[in-house]
Amino acid sequence: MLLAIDTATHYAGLALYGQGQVWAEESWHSAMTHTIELMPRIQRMLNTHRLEVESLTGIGVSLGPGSFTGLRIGLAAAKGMALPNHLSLIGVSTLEAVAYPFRGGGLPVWAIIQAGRGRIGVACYDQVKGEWTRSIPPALTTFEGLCELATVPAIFTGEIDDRASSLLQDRLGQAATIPSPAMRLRRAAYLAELAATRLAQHDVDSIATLAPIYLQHPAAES
Amino acid sequence: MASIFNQQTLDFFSHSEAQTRRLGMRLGELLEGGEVIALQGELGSGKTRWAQGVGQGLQVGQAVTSPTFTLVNEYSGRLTLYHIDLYRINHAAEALAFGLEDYLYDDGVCLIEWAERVTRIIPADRLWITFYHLDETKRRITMHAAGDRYQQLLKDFQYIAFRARSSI
Repeated sequence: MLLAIDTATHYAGLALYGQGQVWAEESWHSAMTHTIELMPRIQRMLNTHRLEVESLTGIGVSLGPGSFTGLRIGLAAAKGMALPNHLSLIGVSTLEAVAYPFRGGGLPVWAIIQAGRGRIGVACYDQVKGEWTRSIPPALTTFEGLCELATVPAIFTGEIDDRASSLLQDRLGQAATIPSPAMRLRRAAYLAELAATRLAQHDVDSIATLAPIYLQHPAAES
Repeated sequence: MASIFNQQTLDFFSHSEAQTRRLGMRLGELLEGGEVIALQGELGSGKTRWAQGVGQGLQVGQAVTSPTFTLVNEYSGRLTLYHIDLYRINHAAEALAFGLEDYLYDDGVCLIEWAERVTRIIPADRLWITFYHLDETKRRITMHAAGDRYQQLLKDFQYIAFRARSSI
């Protein structure tokens, strides 16, 4: 059984995944109070399924991009459980989980997370030579900026509010396919499935060195 | 009290700590959330006094103290106030490494002392307040607004602080 933890943004989620199915899933909107909410919710989910942390096989964690503090909380919790219990740890890109339900739908997928006050983190995923892959790496922009980046018809999913949805629709018209709010929710079950796939291939991360993915401010590089 | 004002800049004198604090309070009363306000000046020039006034204006129940050793103090009032002190920060990368951006792009109010150390990562739209130590009690205070929102804020502040009342 694999536990998935996602505290990358205001939207947080947990899921239990094993034997090819989802056993539990929880998504909630947090006022960035993940530190208070996360552990009791994990405990409750494990208790409901009569599971102990040490009986898990692995932990999948949302690795970013996302909020600095949120990512640290998720990764700290994941490492804290994985290390003493000798569990496998698998870090999954937050945006890959966002795009996941729309893979293979014949359109590129723009995965979006909120980065505060109009800023968004985006990446594009697409079918390239028959393989679902990231075609444009994560970048920090705005919805106006995204309209410039999006040059071909695509699906736009993730953290899109009503105003942004109208903007995308106005600017891009038919070229923008925007799933409904429920359909574009970043679900921990997607994260869990991506992590479980990697775990099955023994493609796991180092507990000691796994680090969050931050979208670096350009000024920090110079 | 005299003040020199144009769209981007407001320049005036404060004659006491109490006055600096009251002016900060007037600004605090006008804030709506999501503002980034830099406070620049030498030690003892009035930055913390101003921050205490802003805290009062935001109806923060507790005393605002200098966050030099904690980097960030968080207060809940009418809005969340983040009082940030970058005195111990040397580079933009260091500020990013403690998560400064989570505060800068939050819905609360950011008051940042020693913001000039990391100017490049402070959002372009902001209010920048510079404090000059003139003598024992007298300070010159210059407020510079960048962006429409902050120019409007400065205009409103100028009105309530210097016009609507005969003295503050």
